[in-house]
Amino acid sequence: MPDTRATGCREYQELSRRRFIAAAAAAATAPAWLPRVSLAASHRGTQRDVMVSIFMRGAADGLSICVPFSEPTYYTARPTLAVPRPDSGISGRAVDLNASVSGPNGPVGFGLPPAMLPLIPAYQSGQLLFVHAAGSRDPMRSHFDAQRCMEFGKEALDLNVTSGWLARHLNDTPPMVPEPTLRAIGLINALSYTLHGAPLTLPIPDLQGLRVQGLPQNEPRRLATLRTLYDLSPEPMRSVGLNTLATIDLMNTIGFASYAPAGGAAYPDTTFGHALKSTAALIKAQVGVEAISIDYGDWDTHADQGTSAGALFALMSGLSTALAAFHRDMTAAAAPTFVVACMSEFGRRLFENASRGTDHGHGSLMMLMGNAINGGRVLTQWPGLAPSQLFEGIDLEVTIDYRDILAEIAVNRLGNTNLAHLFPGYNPVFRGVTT
Amino acid sequence: MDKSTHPHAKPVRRHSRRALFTGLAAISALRTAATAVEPSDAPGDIDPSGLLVKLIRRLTYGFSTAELTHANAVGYQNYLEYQLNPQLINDDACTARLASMPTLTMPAFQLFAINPIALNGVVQEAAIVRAIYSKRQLYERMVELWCDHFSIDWHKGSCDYLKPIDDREVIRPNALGNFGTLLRASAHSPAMLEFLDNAYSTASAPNENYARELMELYTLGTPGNFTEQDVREVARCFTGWGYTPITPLPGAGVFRFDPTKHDNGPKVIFANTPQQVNIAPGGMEADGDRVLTALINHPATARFVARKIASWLIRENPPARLVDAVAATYIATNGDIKSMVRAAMQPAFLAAAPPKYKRPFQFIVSCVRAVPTEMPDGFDIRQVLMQVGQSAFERPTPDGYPDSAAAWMGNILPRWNFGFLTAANWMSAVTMDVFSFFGNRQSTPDILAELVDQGIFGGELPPHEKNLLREFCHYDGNLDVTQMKDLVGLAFATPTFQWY
Repeated sequence: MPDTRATGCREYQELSRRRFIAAAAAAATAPAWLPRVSLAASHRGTQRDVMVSIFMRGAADGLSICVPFSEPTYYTARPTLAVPRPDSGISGRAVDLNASVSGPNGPVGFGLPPAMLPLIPAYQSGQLLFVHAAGSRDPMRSHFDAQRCMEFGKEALDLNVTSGWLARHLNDTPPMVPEPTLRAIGLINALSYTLHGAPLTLPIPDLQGLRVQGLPQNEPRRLATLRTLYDLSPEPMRSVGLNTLATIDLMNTIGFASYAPAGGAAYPDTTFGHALKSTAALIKAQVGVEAISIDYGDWDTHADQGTSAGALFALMSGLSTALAAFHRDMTAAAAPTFVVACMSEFGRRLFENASRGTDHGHGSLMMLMGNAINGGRVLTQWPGLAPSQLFEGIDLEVTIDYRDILAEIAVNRLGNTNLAHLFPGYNPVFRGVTT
Repeated sequence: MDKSTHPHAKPVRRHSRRALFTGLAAISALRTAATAVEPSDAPGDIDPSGLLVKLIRRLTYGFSTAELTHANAVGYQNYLEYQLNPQLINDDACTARLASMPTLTMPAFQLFAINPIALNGVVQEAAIVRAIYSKRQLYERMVELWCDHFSIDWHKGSCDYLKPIDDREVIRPNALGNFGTLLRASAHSPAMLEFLDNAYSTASAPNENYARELMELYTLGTPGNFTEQDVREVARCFTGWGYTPITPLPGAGVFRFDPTKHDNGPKVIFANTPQQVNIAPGGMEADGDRVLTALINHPATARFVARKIASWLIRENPPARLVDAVAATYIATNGDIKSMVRAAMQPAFLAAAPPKYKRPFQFIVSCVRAVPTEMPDGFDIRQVLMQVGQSAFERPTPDGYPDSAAAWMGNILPRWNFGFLTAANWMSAVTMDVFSFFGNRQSTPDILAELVDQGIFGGELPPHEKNLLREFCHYDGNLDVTQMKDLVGLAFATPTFQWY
C-alpha cells in the first residue's frame, strides 16, 4: 500500500494551496438557498439520524490523532514521530483534552496534535467522541481484507456475508421518507464495500451539475429513448438506469452550487471538504438520503510519516478542518440530526520504523460526531503500552470492538434493532456512545 | 443482498444459449438466477463458428467489423492463435502513432531528467492508443490484466520515474510469457520495490509490505494460504532488495542488492506444511529468489493465477471446472501464460459464460473501436477515466482496479455522457466520424438501425433495443446528421453495450 511522503507530496502541496484560497473565498455572502422543509415532520417523527460513514483508508495512526501522552513507552517507541507532551513547552506539542482515564499503568491523559485542533469546538460542545484502542480483533494486517471485513461487519472473511453492514441496515429498515428516489450515496467513483448491496444507492463523486450531456437538437426524444431502453431492460440494468435518471432529476432540485453553510462554516476547498459540504446540503434538503459514505485519505504512512509537518499532518488537518466546518454548519441552525462515524481498518505499529514511518499495527481509533453523541471525552478501556500489554508485543491492543460502536448507533440513532443481521455472529456490548 | 446490485444477476442476451427472455419473464427468471440452468461447459457439442462475435469481444477491447471479417475467414481456433502470437502481427500503424512519444523507448537514466508528470501522462496515453489502435488486442488485454495484478500507483515516492520503466521492462515483455518470469521481474522492479517499501526494509527494521502483498495479491491469494509468521520470514528474506539512486546517469534506478541491509540468518517459510522451505544462514540475495521459487511452485499460486485469468477472459466467479483446467495447465507448463489462455478460451467455456460487465476503460475503448475515430491526443479519455476512477497506473491500493460488475455498475452516467459527447463530436480530442460509419449517406431508420446492429454489436443487438433505436429516428425523407450522431450515442448507452 502506498504511503504519502512528507517530501514531494503533490497532494499535500495542492491541498495547502487550496485551503488558503478557500479561506479567502469563504466570506462570500449567502445566496438564496432554501431547504425543503415539507418532509421535516416525517423525519423528526422517526427520530433517525442521517448516517455519514467516513472510512480512513490505509490504517490511520490513532496514536498520533489522539495522543496517549502519559505513556512513557509512546515516547521511547517513537523517537522522531511522537507528539510532545502538553506540558513539554516544545513547539508542536499536544493540547490536553482533559479526558484522563484510568489505565493499567495509572491515569492516562490524551491530547490532540496541532493538526487536529480545529475540532476543539466540536469536542467542547460535547458532540465529538474519540473511541480509543478500538477496531477489529482480527489479527490480520492486510489492508484489503481488513477493510472489507470491517465494511462487511465481520471479524474475519466470511463468504456468506458479501454485503456492507450499512447496506444491510438500509435493507432492514423502511425508508426515512415515503418512496425515496435514493437512500444512500457514496461520494466516490465506485461504491465502497460499506454500501455493497444497498437499496437505491449510487456512487456520485460530485453532486453538482449532474445531468445527461449531449446535442441539444434531439434532447427530449433522446432522453425518452434512453429511459425506455432501461425501463425495458432486465434487472439489474433496469434499476441502474432508472435510478440514475431519477437521481439526476432529484439532485437538480437541490442547489448545491449556491449552498451557503450555516454559522459561517468554512469548508476547506478539498475533495473531502466538498464532499462534506455537499453532504450537509443533502441532509438539509431532506430528500430521503439517509446514509452517505465517504472515503478520506491514504493513511498508510510507512515512511516519512510527518506527524507534526508532512503527510500525516496534512491528512489530519484535512480531516479536522472539514469535520469542524461540517459540525458548525449542521449545528449553527436547525437541521436534521446526523451522526458521523470515522473508522480505519487497523492502526499502526507503536514502534516507528527505520524510514521514519510506522508499519501495519492493530488497535486504532474511531471518531464519532453528532447531535446525540455522548462526546467531549475519550472513551476507552485503555490497555496500556508496556511490552506485555501490547498486541503480539508490538501493537496497541483492541479493547473495544468497532461493532460495539456501530451497533449502538444503529439501535439508538438509526432505528434498527436487528443486530444479528447487521453483525452476524457477534454480540455487541453497548459502550454509551449515544446520549 | 439486494438483487439490483447482485453481481450474478446479469441481463440475458439474445445470443446467449440460455432461453430468450424479455420483460417480466426475464426479471422473474433472474430472481432465481442462483438456480438458473446454464448450458453445460463440458467440451463436445459446441459449434465454435457461432461464437466468433463473443470471442472477439473477450479477446479484444471491443467488437469491430474488421476483426469479425478476419475471424470469419480463419475460424475460432486460428483467430485465437493469431491473437496469441502478437509478434507475428504487423502493428506498424499503431507503432507509428506512438512515434511522437520518445520517452517510451528512451534509456531509463535519461528519463530521470524529465518532468515525471509528463512522463506518466505519456505512458497513460500510450496505454489508450494501444488499446484502441493496436492489432495485438489480446496482448494489450493481458498487459492490462498484469498491470492490475502487479498494480503500482505512480504517485508513490519515486514511482513517478520508475513505473514507466516497470511498464516496458516488466509487464509488457512478459504479458503472454511465463508467470514465474513475470513474477521475478516484478520482484526485481525498482518501481515495485519502491511502491511496497521493500527498498527501505532492513535487517534491523524489516518492512512487511511487499512480503505480504507478494503472497496475498500476487501468488497465493487469501491469507489462509500463509501465516503472519510467513509474512515476517519472507520480509526478512527480501531485506536488502532495493535499487540504485535515481540520477540522470547510466546505472541509475536499477535493481541492487545491498548485503549490509540483509538479514542473513536462517529462515523457515510455510512451516509445517508440505511446502515448507528451510533457508540456511548466509543465503544473501538468493534468499529472495528461493522465496519466489517456492511461491511459483506452490499449488495455491496455480489456482490463484488460473482464477485470475479465467475471470479476466471468461467470467466473474469462474466455475471450478474452468479454474481446474487452467490451473492444471499452469502446473503442466510451469506457468506458461499463453497455454493458460488457450485452456481458458476453449469454446465450451466461452459458450457457457454469461456476459461480463465492461470496466470503464473497456467501455470507452469499445466505443472508439466500433466507429471510425481519430484521437489527436488522449486528453479527453484520460479526463473521463479520472472521473470514473480508472486512470491507468493510478490505483492507490496495490490490489489493482476490480474486475467485477458490482464495483462499476452503479456509475453509468459518465458512460452515457462519454458516448453522447463522443458521437456528437463534442470532445476536443476525439473525432468520431459517424457519417462515414453510416456509409457517408443518409438513409432510412430501418437501414440505420441495421448498420448499428451489424457494426457495433456484430448483429447481436437485442430486438427490443434495436426497435427503440429505429423508432428514435424521426424520418420524413430527410434524416439529419444530429440524429445519426445521437443514434450512435444511444447505441453506446444501451444496457447491452455495457457488457461484453
